[in-house]
Amino acid sequence: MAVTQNPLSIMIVDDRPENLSSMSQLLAQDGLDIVTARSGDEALAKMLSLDLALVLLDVQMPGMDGFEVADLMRRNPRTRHFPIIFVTAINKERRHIFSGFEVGAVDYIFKPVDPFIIRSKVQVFLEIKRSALERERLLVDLNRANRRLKDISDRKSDFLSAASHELRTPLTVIKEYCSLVHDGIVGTPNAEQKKCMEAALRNCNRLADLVNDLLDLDAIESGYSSMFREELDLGFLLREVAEDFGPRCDSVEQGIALDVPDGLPTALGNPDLVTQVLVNLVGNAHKFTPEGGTITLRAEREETNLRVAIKDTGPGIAPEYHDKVFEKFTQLNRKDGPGAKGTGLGLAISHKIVELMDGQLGLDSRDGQGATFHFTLPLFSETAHMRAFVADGTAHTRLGNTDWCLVLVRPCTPESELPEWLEETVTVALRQTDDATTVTAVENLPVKAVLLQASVAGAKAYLTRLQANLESAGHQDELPHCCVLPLDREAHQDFVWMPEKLVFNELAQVSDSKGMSYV
Amino acid sequence: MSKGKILVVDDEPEIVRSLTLRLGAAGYEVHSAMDGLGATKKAIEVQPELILLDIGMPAGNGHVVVERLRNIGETSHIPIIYLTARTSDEDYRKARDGGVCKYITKPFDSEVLMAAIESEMERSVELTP
Repeated sequence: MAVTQNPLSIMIVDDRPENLSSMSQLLAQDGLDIVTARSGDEALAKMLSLDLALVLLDVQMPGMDGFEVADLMRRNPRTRHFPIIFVTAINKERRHIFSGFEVGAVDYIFKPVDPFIIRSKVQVFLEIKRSALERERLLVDLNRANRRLKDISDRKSDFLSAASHELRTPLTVIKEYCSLVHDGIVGTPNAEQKKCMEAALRNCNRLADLVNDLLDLDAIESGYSSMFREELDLGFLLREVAEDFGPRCDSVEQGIALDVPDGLPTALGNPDLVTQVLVNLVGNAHKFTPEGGTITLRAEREETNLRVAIKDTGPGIAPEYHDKVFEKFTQLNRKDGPGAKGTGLGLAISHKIVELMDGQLGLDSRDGQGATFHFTLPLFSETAHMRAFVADGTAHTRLGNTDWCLVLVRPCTPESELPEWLEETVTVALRQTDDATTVTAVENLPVKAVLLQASVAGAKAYLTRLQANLESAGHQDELPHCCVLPLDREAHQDFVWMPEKLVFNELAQVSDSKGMSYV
Repeated sequence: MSKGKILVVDDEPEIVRSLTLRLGAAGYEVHSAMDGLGATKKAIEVQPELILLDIGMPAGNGHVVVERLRNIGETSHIPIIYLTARTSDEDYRKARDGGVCKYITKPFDSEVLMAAIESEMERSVELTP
């Protein structure tokens, strides 16, 4: 067996020194540290600073017995995951075996110990630990690689942002001078000159739109778009967009119709981004619908989603182009309607935005029969909202999911399990306390999100201290996303509370200017 | 008779020149500065009814100019419109905190700019006894 770089450790707990030394000799091998303890107290104290592959725990000991030790181990997050094999000479009745499993024994063996059996059992646990360590190491490598990619992507975004800023100034100058000629401020232009300036101005606007769209797209693709989702009334958003487009549609005798059923459930999404998608889609429909045509905005429930459809009576899109329309810089030769030429980025942006909100954007159309662009958004629910909060918070950080933790602070209530998805998504620390100021940081991980129940005393003090800690560590720009939960909810049995909007103004003021997001 | 004094501040000379032409044609008396320090001096000297201010400039950016002007008695009340290529959240926040009345991004529509100027000028006339 090859010597591993980092020796594995196991602990043997037994009140008899002769048992400890014989067992140690029996199990000794290269690359294995064997730690011994002669009592439950000694074992618990020693294991706090160790990462153990296995604990061989004698059941019958003076003072604290093996079951009590196991019980205390399970209560401490540092030791709760260590596997335990109970070793005992007596207590052979089933009843005792059961109480061992209740406190989390993995296995149970009896004295006198068969050397072959104990060695093979220990070997299994060492293998498990080795593969766990290997997995951890790979994860670290993976995170490092991800961070490097993110760095490259950041640099690209910085470049794009600087370049677009540099483009705006000369564009402003060109546009303003064309406009001065067009408006007759530097001499009266003739009709032909005026038309030339109109064309120049139109294209200045196109270039400006393009710069804005490129920045938008980059923000969305690199996950920096500061998105937080909330409960949305889609009927309201559709009405607003329809009203905005009203005058433009009227001017070319296009009809714009709304079809939203009464009692439509709410959706989960970001209102600004959803509006951006609607403006893009309705803008497209407006562009390609001929005079006298109609644009229809429809919303309906579809199983677990809401479905929005924007239908036009334009020339339609042949099926072979359906995938292509969502690619960047695609502009199909649909017979032009009244609208101006676009940037070729609108649908690509919309597609990304909808994806970001866990929906899908699609197209139904046949050549010559109008086009319907449709997208889905998940139905609003407290669980979906909470999930989205965590996912969006993750998207904001430059660290990988496993490099930071989410701290949930709630008052002392009966313990409940964390939902599985939450544990999978981020490292979560649950702190149950009556006083938030007693909450400390979590196992060296930076806090990137806090869910804080506002009824906990010292909630404000906790946020202030968190802020001070980050500032003193030079991370004042990396304040976590913070969510303050409302006062006592019925939902105490179920862990998933709904992050509600700006619950406590007082808390919001703690760091409103520091970029904390209150959902 | 001039419709009022406007101070145009931008480090890009062509922007100053084109705005001077447009505002002059619209009947305003136009003064200009090309950096933060010049802007503060000119504002005190000319006492304009309105300032069009760029953010990214040498010798004190737009936010610094706003802060200085707000702390000087005779300029603290002058309405300011930002005319800038910058669009970060930070810039918007500083504009709001400094009491800047309008935030117009470059490239701008001259109609939008002129409408904003006229509404601010009308308001400042109302306020002046």
